[in-house]
Amino acid sequence: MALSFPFWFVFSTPFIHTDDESSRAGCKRSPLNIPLEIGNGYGYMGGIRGDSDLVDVEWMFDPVDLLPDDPFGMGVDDSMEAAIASIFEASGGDLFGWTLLNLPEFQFYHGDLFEEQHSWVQDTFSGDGQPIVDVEPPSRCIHEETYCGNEGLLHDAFLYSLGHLNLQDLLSVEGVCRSLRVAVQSDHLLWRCIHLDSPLSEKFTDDVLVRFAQRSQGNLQCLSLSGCSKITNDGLKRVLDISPKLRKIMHLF
Amino acid sequence: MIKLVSGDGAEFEVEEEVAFQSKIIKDIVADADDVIPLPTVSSKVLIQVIEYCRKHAAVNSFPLSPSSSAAAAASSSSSISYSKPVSDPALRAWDNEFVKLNNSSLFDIVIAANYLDIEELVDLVLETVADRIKGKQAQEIRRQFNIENDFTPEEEEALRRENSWAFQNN
Repeated sequence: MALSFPFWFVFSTPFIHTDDESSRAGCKRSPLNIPLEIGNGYGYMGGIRGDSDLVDVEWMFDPVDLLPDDPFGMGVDDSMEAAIASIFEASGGDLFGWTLLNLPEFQFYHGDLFEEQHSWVQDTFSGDGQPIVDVEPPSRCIHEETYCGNEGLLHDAFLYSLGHLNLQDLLSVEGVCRSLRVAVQSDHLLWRCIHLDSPLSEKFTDDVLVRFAQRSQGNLQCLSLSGCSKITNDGLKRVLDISPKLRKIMHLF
Repeated sequence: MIKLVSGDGAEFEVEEEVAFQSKIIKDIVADADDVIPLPTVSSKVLIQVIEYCRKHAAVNSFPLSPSSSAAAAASSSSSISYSKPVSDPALRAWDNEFVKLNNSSLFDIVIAANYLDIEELVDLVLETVADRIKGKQAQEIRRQFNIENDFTPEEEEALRRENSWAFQNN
């Protein structure tokens, strides 16, 4: 059994559910958390949302949310570790099948999303509606094409589009230039949800998984592994140790 | 009619429903006058943005569902609304034609669209840029976006080694 959906699909789940469900819709990309340490001429792009709402309605569900909350009666109030431990027990030590946990006290995202969007609006526009952010025209960065490679400056739009890429593409982007390597590796939002499926998943090892989990800087929330035959229980435990916010794990063989 | 003034001084008169595709303009017009200076947007870009808004305003004036007009009304309040997916196949096809531009133009548009708070246009352009990255190797991405490879050979080798697990064919 395998679920087939692109990486960014888990990565960006628009809220279309009821209020109750929206609190668990999870993994929505922040509107303005792309770090701006990459040199750029205008730091006002914070309002861009890196998610993708231009999808069919039937795509607007996180498939993980469609799965039952507590299929094995493990007790959703337990801690993540306890729940995982119960799976180990039930499977005689081998992690088998999948688990999906939605802790009721956990709010994936909506709190800070609202705050961030609201604050961005306030930062950008004063009460009389006039823009208070003085935006430099992008003159020094726009040449014939998109980007001034000589100065190592990347266009913001390029950086924001990274949120629409899957893991394989992110790895390619990482190898383009130094700025992009920093952008990919240090933007923990790109690593908030890790979804792996074929063919990359077959090559995925514990060490690689842990390395990507580290990139989320403790913010890993969803981990969806499909066909990752090389991932061991030990690897998952290491990820759990460094991911206090991890609330969803899906492990399919 | 609302008058938009681009950074280079060109004036564009557009209908309200076209200009109101931009939430910012909508908010500005609500408590200011009808002449709106947009100093950061060049006339070239503004023409394209208006073209997009005009098309979408025309389609949106016949809302497919009551929720779209409700969402537009709600957007002026503090509630957060997300752009709905473009479900009209004809409009989607038009969008696909609209974004057949070079990267530079796309980037200019997304800057302006973000400034004007036109969510659908921002999403459309970012998706398009992402599509131009997808499935490409680093070298192809450099060529596509005219990016210089500033890695030293050692760094490149280290990165290749680090990601070799993903690119090897077993």
